[in-house]
Amino acid sequence: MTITSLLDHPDLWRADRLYRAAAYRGTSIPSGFPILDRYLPGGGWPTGAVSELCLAQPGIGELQLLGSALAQITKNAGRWVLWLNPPFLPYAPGLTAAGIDAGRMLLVRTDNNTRADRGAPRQRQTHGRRSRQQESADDPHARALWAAERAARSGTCAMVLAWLDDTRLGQREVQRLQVAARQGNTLFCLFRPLTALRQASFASLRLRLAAGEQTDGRQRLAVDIVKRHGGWPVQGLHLELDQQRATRADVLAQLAFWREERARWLPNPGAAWPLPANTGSSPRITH
Amino acid sequence: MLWLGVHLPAFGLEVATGGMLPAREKPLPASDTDTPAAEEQAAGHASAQPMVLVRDQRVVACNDTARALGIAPGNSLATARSLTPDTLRHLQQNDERESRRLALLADVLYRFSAEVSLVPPGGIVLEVGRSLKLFGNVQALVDQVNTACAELGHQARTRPAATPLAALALARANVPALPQVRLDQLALPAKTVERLGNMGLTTLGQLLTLPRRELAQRFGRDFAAYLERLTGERPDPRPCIQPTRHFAETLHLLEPLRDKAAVQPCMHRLLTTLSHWLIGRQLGAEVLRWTFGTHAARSPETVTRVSMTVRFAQAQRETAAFAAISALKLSATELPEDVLDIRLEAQRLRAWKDQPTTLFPELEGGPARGSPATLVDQLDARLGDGACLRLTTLDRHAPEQAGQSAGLNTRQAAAPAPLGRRPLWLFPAPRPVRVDNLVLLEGPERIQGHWWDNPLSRDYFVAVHRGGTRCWVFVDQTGQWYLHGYFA
Repeated sequence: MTITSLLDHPDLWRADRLYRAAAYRGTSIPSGFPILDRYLPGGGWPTGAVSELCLAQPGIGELQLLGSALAQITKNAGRWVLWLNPPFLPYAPGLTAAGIDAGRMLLVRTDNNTRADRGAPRQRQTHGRRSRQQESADDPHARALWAAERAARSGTCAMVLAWLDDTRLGQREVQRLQVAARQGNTLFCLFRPLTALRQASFASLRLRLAAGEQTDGRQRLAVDIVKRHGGWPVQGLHLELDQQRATRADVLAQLAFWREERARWLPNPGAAWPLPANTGSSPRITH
Repeated sequence: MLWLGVHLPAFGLEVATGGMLPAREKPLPASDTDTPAAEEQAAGHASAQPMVLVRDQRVVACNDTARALGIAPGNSLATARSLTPDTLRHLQQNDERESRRLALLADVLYRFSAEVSLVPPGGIVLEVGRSLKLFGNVQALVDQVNTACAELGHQARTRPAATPLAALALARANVPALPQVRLDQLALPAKTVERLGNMGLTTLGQLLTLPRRELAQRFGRDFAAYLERLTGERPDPRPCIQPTRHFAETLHLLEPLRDKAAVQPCMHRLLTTLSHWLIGRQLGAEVLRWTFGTHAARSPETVTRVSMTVRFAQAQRETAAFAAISALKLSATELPEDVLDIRLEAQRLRAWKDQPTTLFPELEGGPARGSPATLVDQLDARLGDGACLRLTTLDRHAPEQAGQSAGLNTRQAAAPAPLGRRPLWLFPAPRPVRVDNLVLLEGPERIQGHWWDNPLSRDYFVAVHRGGTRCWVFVDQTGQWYLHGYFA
């Protein structure tokens, strides 16, 4: 046994490099972004672990970041993805256009308080000893946590995307989710606000997401890896999310045509022009 | 022809107690708490209380404790009471409930044979000659029948024999061979048995050696015919039960239950019955309907019923699967008062298709990975119906109708891909937006239509918001701009 073979042992972590894909214990799903894959342990999203995605506001491209993984899971493997309390409706035509099978999505909402077929109306005198579980059954946060853990543990969903009440989400809850995700070998994506980064977490992977520079009309996402297994944090990754389909000239021509057309059809076209003026030197595409 | 005789020695008492003697955690009400027997029972020995089954003030059956105290069937209730001053519990025999229970039991045993007939009280015979190949051998079959009866709360003695009467006699007498059966253990008139006894005949072996014709002369034709049917010299056709097509069973409790934890074993008992019933018919149930009869402690007369419906995404038939979801549903249901009886009804029965969920379960992550139906059942049971949704696409103009969330049973329709770009997040309702925060990137895409209900005319654009989000915005005919989704 030579010193190099000892150094190559998967249990030995060397600060200057990540786990290589072959040596990484867990499995992973490639993210579809080569820059990101290079820094993720195992070369992709870690399955059987919690990945925290911390972002200031929804809509900056967080779903496109996961798009490739979603497409692989639903389209190629034919497995299920569970969305727990998403802030908006995942739009099926948009998902389909991104190559994701929207028929494999399971949407779970714990915030609606429609407890159907309760049988008898609620009565003042409750049943004997009211159990603790019964108490927590009415708490939406507890129900969401329960659903998240159950979904992660069951292993029937390859991927769980969860939005939880972050003001009440502590380290212990994340740890439980981490254990559940490991048992079910689930890729668990937990979406949290940026303030969550102030406290430590048991999640295997923590990312800070921010909208990238979009001056040329391309959508970019700035990703900082705050925590990863077997490596230091990485800052300043810029991912190109989509390609602008139309050139600037095309867009301007279309807009000019639209304005004419609209002026002909609408009674008061003046109200329709509060768009910012074209400053010429600015790369903004306006009219 | 091989017949299996099933004798239920304690059938009457088992029916009267519902087969369930719940171990109570807190002592009984003051009237019968101050004796050692009641305390013992409170500690979990449910059979410690002497119990007798009574019909017309006469003891018909008694349990072991009562027997140890000197009570025997035939005693009057007053005698029994005098033997056990405080603790005796007497239950009235209920013929209707007994016959219903025996029919249900036969229905469950239909699983083992197509020819099942009832021999009330407390006897069932099965023709198992044609079931032997399926179940292996007679002993395996006997064991399975006994296990099934035990799971349903009945102590059973099962014996095989060549004729139904012989099988029943062996089961009742609990002996391996016919000649050892005592005459008083046969279903003969007491007077006949007495006369035979006076002649010195006590066992069947002695009786069968005597010439049949002389016996017929002395004891009548019916007696001779009985012996011929017993030995198989005369055919003994029996009416077979018709398997029921619906399952509904009620468990009547002796003591009201105040705790959900105490209700669970009773539910488990009912579910086990249902599971046997379903397996015998190659069916699975999609909906279970529970009804709890409850009454308030202060007014025992008014019984209120609380229902609970448990739905399954796929038809199930195993007790464990039923019990897990039912327990979850129970935790989300309020049982306001003491529970007196529990009724289980199976609805939406489907032909059972036993198919593995995956071809190589070991390769795909082990047996823990079931179908998502199980997970959906759990979530629905705990979170309420309608918590689980799926995403649907429809061929509609209006974007909010083209992609929706809907119940799991909604049929998925194939929709053509839209021409323009579609966002990944869609708002439930468009939000008015100030346009000076937006920069348009692509568009327009005009979506116009729905003249028949709610006409819309919108020009959609892809825009970038000052905050960095990629938005899907539209301007309507009044010139108002709206935010409708995010390219997240």
